Amino acid sequence: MMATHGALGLAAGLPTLLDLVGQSASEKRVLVELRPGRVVEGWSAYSGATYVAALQETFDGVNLDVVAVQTLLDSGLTRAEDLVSCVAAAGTFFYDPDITTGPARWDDGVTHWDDGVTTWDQFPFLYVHLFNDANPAITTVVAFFLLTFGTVGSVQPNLGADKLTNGGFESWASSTDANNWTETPGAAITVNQETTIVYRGTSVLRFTATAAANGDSATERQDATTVSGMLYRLSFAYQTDPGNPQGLDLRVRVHNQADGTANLQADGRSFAASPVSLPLPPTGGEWKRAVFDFRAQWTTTRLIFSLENNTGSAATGRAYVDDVSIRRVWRYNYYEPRVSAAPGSESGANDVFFGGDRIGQGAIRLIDADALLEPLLADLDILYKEGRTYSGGAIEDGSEVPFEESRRGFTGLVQDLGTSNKEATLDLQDLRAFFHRDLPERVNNDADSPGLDPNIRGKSRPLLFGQKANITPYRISKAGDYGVYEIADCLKSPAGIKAIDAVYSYADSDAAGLLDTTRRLTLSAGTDYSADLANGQFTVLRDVQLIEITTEETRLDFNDGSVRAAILTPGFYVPASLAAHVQTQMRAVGAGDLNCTHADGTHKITISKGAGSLSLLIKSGTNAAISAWKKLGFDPSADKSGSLSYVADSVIFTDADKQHLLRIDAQGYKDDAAGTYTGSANALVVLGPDLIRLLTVRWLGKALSALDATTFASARTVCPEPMAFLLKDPTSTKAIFDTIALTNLAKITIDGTGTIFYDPLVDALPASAPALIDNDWLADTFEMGLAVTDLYTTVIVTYDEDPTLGTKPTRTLTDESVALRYGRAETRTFNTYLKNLGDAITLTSRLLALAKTPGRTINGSVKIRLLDARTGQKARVTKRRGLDATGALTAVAFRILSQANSYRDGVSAVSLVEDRAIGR
Amino acid sequence: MADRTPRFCWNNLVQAAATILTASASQAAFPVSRLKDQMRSKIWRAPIGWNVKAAINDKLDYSEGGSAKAATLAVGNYATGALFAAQVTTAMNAVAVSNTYLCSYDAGTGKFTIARASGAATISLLFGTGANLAASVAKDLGFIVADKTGATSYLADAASYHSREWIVVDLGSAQSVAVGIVINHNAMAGGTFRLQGNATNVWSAPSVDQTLAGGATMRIAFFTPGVYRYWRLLIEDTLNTDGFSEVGILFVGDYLQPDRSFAQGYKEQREQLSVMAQADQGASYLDKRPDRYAFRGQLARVSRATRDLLNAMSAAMPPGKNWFLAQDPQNFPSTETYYVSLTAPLDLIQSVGDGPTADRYETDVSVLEALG
Repeated sequence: MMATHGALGLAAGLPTLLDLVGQSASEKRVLVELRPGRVVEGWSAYSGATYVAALQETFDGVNLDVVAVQTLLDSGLTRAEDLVSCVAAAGTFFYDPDITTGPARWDDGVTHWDDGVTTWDQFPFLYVHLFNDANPAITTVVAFFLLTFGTVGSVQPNLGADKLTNGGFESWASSTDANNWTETPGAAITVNQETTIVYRGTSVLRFTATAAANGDSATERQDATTVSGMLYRLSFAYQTDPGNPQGLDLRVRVHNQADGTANLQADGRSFAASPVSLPLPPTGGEWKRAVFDFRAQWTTTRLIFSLENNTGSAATGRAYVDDVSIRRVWRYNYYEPRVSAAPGSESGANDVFFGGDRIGQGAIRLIDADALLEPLLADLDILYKEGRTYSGGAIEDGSEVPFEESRRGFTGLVQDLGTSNKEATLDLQDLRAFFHRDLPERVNNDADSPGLDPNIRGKSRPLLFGQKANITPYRISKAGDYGVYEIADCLKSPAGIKAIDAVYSYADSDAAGLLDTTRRLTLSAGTDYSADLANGQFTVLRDVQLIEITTEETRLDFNDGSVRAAILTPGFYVPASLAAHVQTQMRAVGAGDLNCTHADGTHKITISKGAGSLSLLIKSGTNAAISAWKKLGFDPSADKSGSLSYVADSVIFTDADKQHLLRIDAQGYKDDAAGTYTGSANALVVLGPDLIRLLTVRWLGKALSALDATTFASARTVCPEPMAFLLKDPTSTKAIFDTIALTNLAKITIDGTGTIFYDPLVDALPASAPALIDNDWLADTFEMGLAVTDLYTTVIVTYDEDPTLGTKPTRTLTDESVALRYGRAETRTFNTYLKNLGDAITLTSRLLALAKTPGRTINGSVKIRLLDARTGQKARVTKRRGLDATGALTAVAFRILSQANSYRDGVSAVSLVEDRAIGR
Repeated sequence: MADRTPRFCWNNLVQAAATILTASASQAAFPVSRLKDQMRSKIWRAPIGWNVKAAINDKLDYSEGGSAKAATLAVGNYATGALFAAQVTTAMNAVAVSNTYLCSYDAGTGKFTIARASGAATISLLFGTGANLAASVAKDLGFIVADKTGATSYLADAASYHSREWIVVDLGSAQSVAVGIVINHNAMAGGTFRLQGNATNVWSAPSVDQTLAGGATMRIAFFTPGVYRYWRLLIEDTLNTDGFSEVGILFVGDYLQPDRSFAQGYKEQREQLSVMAQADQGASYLDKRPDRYAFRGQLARVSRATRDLLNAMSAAMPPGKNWFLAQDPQNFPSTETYYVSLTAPLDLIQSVGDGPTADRYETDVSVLEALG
């Protein structure tokens, strides 16, 4: 029994996955996990905002563990390690499948466990504490169970979230100060960042002893929160230099944080009062894994790595540590050997350069001759639930790759389930299928917005990204006559929209359609409208229809003791401003106590005077032919006299939907105060990688951790061009992602773990690019060719689409030589989300650089070297024969077009295309 | 060399519908009911640490100043030696008169120490003569079955990393059992498996007490049949640093022994499941998988009675149903017994008959080792 399968204690010198796939003879095993779900009902209050429901699903007599909980309100709850933590923190759940006692439950309406056999009180309980302390009874709560299978029967841990921060040593405050860790150098042993000898990522921890005296030591430590009495797994990779003298030991120590008086011993469950530093066997310059399964007996566990000189004399040497994690072992699961087929990972482009990525597909086949699976799969929700495969195994000497080192080769969503007398077959599509959702999701409806204009009822509520002009807002409420307009649906935005730059009122639809700036007015914030940026809306505060005073209707005849004629200035006015203008002009020729007002309550104009007399010479005035009185709502058939105040005969305003022709310039969704999506607090989200982050997390409900922080952060610098688009009709998120990727000339890829990467094409060939030589290609698989696919004479780039008119400015670039040389006189148009012309010019140039010459392609199967590569990344190919003027390939840069990895075999079936410089 | 007629151990009473299994303790994910399954990797596993059960291992006999005391440990699981030692301390002090006691655990050596902490009265550990030997915890603490006297502190004779464990097989009625087999266990070389049989579920003096012999792969014993309702597998493997015991397959039952061994010319081989791929110039890559025992032979000239037994077995054990084939149970029981299933049903053909000679039958027997 290895320590990694349920026995506690330290197991070191274990092989890595590359040890496994790199050996010419090794035993590869595949593990499969399914995560079917079930709606949980029968909630009752437990404590505060924490609710409890009985929940049990058994397979082969064992309660299944619940590994995730989602609700309609939240993308996912975090698993609390104990009930106390669940009660204390919103957004958590707690479930212990092995605890079958809890609040008495009899009449809770849960019928699925009332099977007439199982006694009522033998059920584990699911506790949830939803975000905003919501009651789970008002939403839908789905619990996801864990089902485990393998190609061979084995016992593996079900691991929780990592308790450490920066366990990969990727983040350093300085070269001697790893963030979240505490360094204590020795007299002659240093603690440093190492960036050359790395295991994962770009840097690791390095201890360096230089003629260190006997007894000298250096340490690196971090504390982790744990639950007393629970099992945890410390896992890490380490390497010691081959020249290290015996006795210069890399060691690991785990103890209680409080005072170090309870030191875990090698068995993982006993303690000593004095320090116990467990030596790790030397690795001779290779990376090895170590696992320490232990039972915590404290709430804070301190982990210490150290390099200690116990040689008896001065010693020089180095040791490295990387990929450290401490995870709760929720239980050790049995992986039943039912797997008869499992997919590898697959990713690829539809075209050579310009297509989106294909969706990887695969099938998991589970032996079910004993009919044990059918009732379970029928009882649970399996469609569109996750299935995962892991590849691991044992090397020649029998030592096994630890579970957490196993490669997640495929993460997919179940599309179809089929069963037969022998097997259950689950067809999966990889997580790119997750992108096949349409946005916007919400539509205008009467339930949310009573009294909607029937013309917009049922239409999508738009989503706004970046800065757009000429947006047509939708009036979603008639409150206050003029109503509330929506620019963008902010339900899932982090913090609403950034700004409303301008609100225009157009004179008529022709003016709006022509963007006629002479026939519109810019409305005033606070006077004409009030903005509600958090909800992407604004409220029109007064009548903002445009009233045009033409040269044929400028006169106002009246008598305020003398006959007078006020002259209005031709132009456009909103009613209130027109009233003000009328008053000004009347006073200019008449008494100073003349007033003209517009009432939003009655929608009528009133002309009045403080004292004396006032008549409106509407009919009898000398300028009746060019009178403006009618425009103000006064009946032109008669004068008004005998009073000091006259209310117009007719209303000016009748219907906002007909009379208010509004267009908006606005800035779309902004980041939250923490700068979660852009790195800057409250910033407008405009860059490609940031838009992907925002969409993935907020609209697709994936965790931020699903996005690779390094490539997304780096892409901000490489792709600084702002984007802008308004989604007002249902659009596939895959199409959105593909357009963003094309706009940035980037690849968005998902690896087997479901992690999303953002890799812009760049000219630089990184030193770390895999170098492929003859021996890396499996026999008879290497094929090289030349294709005219994606060869164009002219490329056209569209940008900054008008969200109302749908017009798209374009930028065109042509290279006539393409038609002459390759007989391809074709044109291709690329629709982008670019905002600016300058960026469109740049992109056009880059696209033509890719499109004007045919690329050499390679298809073949590569052993090991490309397992960690992604589509879009580069590799150097050296081959003694090849399609080249020299007859051979010498470090020629190719880009990975598609690949299908079999981690089990250590083989990548790839398509490569010759790299092209694009000037970036 | 003794007779080498094979034995077919096919009717595993552990997996019979009426059989009820109970264990000293089980991890929730590895219940004892898993032993009802023929899948060898589907294990029963005891919780890590020391599991105390009433009337099994909850008593500690000692004398204080010559007066016998019986400490009673609280039933439950003690995950660490320190926790178990603390419980022993508590239990002893609960019945102590003038002394106080301290039980401690040295994780380095894995040994418990029971010592007088205060007081002057003499202390002896009555592990050989105590009144509660049948329920003594002495072995779980690493002490041999012998009194400890003449000192104030007693160090255990051996390390202990977990308690003894047991599995009781209640057959529902008395049935004949002549063989016990355990595979997919984690016992160390010094760990023992004893199969005990009794008419009642009381194990102070079982009527059958048979040690299973063998090594890391298999423990097995053929013995004089006993007809009892209750059978118990007692696992004494406290030195195992895993901290728990586990068993994949427990066979308790009878066996079928043909009239004679397989006919001359039977074939045994290791069938290779590994997959090899070659590079252009012959370099080979191997996807290693387990090999498995494969056997093809013929039983010839078997009697009518044996024919009937074989037919019954063939009906109950179709291909895919696993059983134990002991190729040489007399000489190499633990090394030449295989967990197998038939590749095809037995096909018994009358080979001798139609005259005064009693009918004789023959059949091919082809099996493959059951992996997983």
